[in-house]
Amino acid sequence: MAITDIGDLHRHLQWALEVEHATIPPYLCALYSIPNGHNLEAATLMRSVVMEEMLHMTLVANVYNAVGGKPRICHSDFVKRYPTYLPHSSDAFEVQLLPLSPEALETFLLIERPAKPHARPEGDHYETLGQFYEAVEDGLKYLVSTLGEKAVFTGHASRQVQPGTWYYGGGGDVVAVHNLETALSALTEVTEQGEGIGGEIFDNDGRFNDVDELAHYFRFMELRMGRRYQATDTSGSGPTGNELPLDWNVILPMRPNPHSDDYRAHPTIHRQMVTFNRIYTRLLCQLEMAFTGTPSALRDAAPIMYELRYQAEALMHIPSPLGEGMTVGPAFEFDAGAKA
Amino acid sequence: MSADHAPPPRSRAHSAMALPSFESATRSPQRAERTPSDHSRQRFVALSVILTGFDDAELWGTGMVDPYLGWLLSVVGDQFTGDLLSASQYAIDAAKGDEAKLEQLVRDNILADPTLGPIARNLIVLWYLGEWNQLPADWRDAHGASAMDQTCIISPDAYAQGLVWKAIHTHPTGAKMPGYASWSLPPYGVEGEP
Amino acid sequence: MTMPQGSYDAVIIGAGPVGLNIAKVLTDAGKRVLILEAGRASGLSYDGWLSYADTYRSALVKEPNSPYPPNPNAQSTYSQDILNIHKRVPILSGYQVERGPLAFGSTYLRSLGGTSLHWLGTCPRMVPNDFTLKTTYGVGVDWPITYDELQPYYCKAEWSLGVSANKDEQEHFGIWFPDDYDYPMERIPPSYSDRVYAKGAAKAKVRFGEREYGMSVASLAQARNSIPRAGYTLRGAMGAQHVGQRCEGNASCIPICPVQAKYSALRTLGELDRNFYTLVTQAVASRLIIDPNGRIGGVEFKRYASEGSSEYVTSTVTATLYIVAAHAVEGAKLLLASGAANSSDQVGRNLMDHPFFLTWALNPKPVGAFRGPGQTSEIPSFRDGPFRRDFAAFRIDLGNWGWDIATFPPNSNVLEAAGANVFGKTLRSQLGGEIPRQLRVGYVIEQLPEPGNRVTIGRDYIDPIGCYRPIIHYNVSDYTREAMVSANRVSTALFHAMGIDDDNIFTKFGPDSPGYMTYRTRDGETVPLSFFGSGHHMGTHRMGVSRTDSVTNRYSRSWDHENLYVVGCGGMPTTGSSNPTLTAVAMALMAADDMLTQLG
Repeated sequence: MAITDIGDLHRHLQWALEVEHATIPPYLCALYSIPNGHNLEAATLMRSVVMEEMLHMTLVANVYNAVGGKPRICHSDFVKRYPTYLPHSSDAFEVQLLPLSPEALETFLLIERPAKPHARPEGDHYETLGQFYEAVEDGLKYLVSTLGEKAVFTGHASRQVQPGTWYYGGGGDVVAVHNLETALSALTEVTEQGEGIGGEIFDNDGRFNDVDELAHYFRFMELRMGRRYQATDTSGSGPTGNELPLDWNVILPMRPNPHSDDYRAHPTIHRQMVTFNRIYTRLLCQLEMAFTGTPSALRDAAPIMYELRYQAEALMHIPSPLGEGMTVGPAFEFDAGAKA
Repeated sequence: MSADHAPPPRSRAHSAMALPSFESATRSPQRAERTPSDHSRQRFVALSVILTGFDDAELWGTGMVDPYLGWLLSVVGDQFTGDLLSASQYAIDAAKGDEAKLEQLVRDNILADPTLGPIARNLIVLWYLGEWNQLPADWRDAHGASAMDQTCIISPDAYAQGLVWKAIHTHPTGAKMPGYASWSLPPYGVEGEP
Repeated sequence: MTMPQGSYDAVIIGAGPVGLNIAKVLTDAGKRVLILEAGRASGLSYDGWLSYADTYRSALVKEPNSPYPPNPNAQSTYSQDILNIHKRVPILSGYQVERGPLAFGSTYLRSLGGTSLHWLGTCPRMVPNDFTLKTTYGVGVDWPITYDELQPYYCKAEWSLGVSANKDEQEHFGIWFPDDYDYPMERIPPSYSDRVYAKGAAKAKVRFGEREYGMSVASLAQARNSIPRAGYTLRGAMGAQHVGQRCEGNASCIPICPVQAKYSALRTLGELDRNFYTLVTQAVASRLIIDPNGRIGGVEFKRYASEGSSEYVTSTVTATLYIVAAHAVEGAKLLLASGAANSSDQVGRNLMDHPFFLTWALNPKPVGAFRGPGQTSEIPSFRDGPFRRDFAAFRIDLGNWGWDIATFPPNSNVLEAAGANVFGKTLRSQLGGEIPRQLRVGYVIEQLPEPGNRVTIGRDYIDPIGCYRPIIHYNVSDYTREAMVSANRVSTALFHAMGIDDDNIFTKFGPDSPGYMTYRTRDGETVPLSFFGSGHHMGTHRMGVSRTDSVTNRYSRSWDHENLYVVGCGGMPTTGSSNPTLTAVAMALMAADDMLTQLG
């Protein structure tokens, strides 16, 4: 058993935030390497995944707050330097910041890979996200059964992000968490949207045309294979539906794993990278505000996300003096100077 | 006055024939026709930095360097584009980093020049609004007119990347949407409630 | 698309917000409905909508119809057609023939969804005294219905259009709401510049006659998505429901919301039960057929195959009820062309708009011009009051888009500066120092019904498929001109209270201004004035209490033909100062109840 006291649980939920967040920069690099107006279907698909990763952070934060925790996001430790292993993973693969490419998609598939059935949760170094969340769910159930629900769910309701308010524009919705049932339903939403459950491609309601009805793993598989899934497909068959057109030639050739320090000798480029990092840091701090007692602060996180996007898109267009035929790209670094 | 203040050499032997010809009027004016060389791209960016007040990284970040240089080559041709880039290179070299001097050189050698001035002013408008204005009638009479020399927004992206919106600290209307309630936040340069 | 077959309970002419909201009520009740739309069926796919947005971006003149491709067989008015009317010289060049003496500077759109594709989305209710103008103030006419009678339909219309507002901020001049009612979505957050105005407005005072008037800023009810209240399901973009779940601040509401967070009638179309309606587009109704017994016996319409060709096929369709929901101008044209519903001689007459009067200034500090929806707040203080005996009411819209149509920033600033060889960092800082401080106040002014302001038709003005083009006769009376002078006084008081001195007030009217005119005030002074159209065409088939001076009864039913309804803004006897779409939809929903009674 990985989680045997509230401290373990808090630690795991903080890790969960770190893990969910660590996927966002690589997904965003893939998304923003698609120039405006091109590969619309692929861009919609990538964007839907990112939106849901944001939702997952919110869901995890709700669970964390409900059990009396205090999410920490606005902090340099929270941000990884790429390439990196996923936090608290088994270090089986590294995650890089790459433009949309077969290589990037292979990594995304590894990130969202479904758990092997009956894989045993362990105390750290998880092989899959599914395994990790199973440990969290087991821990929650164990604590509720030993301490009682009231002793576990001590967080104030005012710290919960409510459904139908500040999350919009993506699949699923927020779950306000106040007991074991709502906590499990929040975590189920995370795992269902992520790697899917038990190898099922589609949910049971048969709305297989909606992009958000596919688990992330299968959405990435569609991009990797250049084809959509159709209703008769199985995880074994792979996607056999309509072609998913993807013009690789227009993808902006971002130099892998950008770091602002690399551009110290190029002040105008460095300035743009710092601008990006400051927007990114402001976003993390705004999210922390929202997840630590002021849920309405999420409202003003959305404009920062757009700012982040446009600055990333600009960096994707700036030719890199460090790599022939490559562009600069966003570094996703924590900038303590931006912490308001 | 030293030799490096002499005006740059420039061919005046141009006519309508020097302009690229166009096979068909139905070709979309939205698409840049030419792929510029790296050398001319660098010189074009250097000129654009002077004309717009935005630095090279900001200009590259719009993704419009190639489309605009390509547009210029297609609409006014290699000769005038080359002359304009040479004139700005000359001004940059002669100013030796003195901004006031550079500004004066650009005024005297480019903006006041009857041939290069209209192109340079058009380039400012192109960068700021994504809009190309048909060159003045006397320019067209003197140098010949390309079929592409029509007043238009050269592409939806050109509009969306207009520098004016950055200059006025907002986003282009109908593009680069800033998100729900962004309008409620204090504007650039202001803190707190009114 | 198939041609209509069989008989229908109702045929609705016009697939805009009014026609489609009626279609919703009728089809929900299991009635079979045929909808004829003159324009194209486009905008229904998400890709199609994105292409409209790109057309807007690459349009040199971003006027209200710029995103929507021209259609010679179902033409619309373009503002360029009418911007340059010269005094007393008719303009024959555009679709709309302008007989003057003043230009009717308003546009509408003939396309599936109608003008709701390009409207701003402003949805204020009318105030109770607007319905009793004659009785209360001795001017204009009374309505055949009161605020209290329309009130339940306002509630329904607000839910159908998806209006964002807080009701406690809308209770102006006797406007009331049921206790258990609220708007479907929370108010749109006020802009920063609204709050700059609010601070000044709290101190501003202006005197008219015996009375001193204060001012206050209130949130504006608007049909764009914000945070839903319980029981309301957000509706986003057609074909991409995750898009447009909130207003994203595109700041291009007119002419297009790229994410479709703003209501368009396409949404209502998407909600109709497919089993109960047939939609025929590119079908221009050309004549109502009147049976000897006085009932309408059919609609003749011309169906063109494409915009590229003027070839068309004429067909006739029959139904139990006939509903003209084709826009105030197009509907009047159809009635005139058919010799229908006009025993009162009021069809086409009493054409009204809200003349839109502008003032503009520079604030000492940035207000964040060009951010957010066109307007998010208003000053409702002059929507009603004893002054209405003397001059027209007005609603004050606080613009969020800088000087906007007053001077066309930022393009005009760039062109002017570049032309003067301003360049580089000077250019950048000059623009950045000025435009974010721009304030523009718009006065949506009431106009009284006058028989001489009218739509007519004539054999000399025919479109490519043989339908009449509208001929517009238009003027603005002293009652409204006096209100402009008053509005200018309000403006000065407001700007001064905001700490803006006269040097920073830039309001200026000259012979080149759109809608330029002069006015001799009651003090004997001659002043220049200028106004724009609001796109609020009203009055051309007004409802009333008597068949001698109105076209329809209170249920929008023709006095002359009991199975004919003429619905929409044309039915409004007076304009008040509220943007009319919400009221027109409320009136249409009231009419739809009467239709259901007739159909049994």
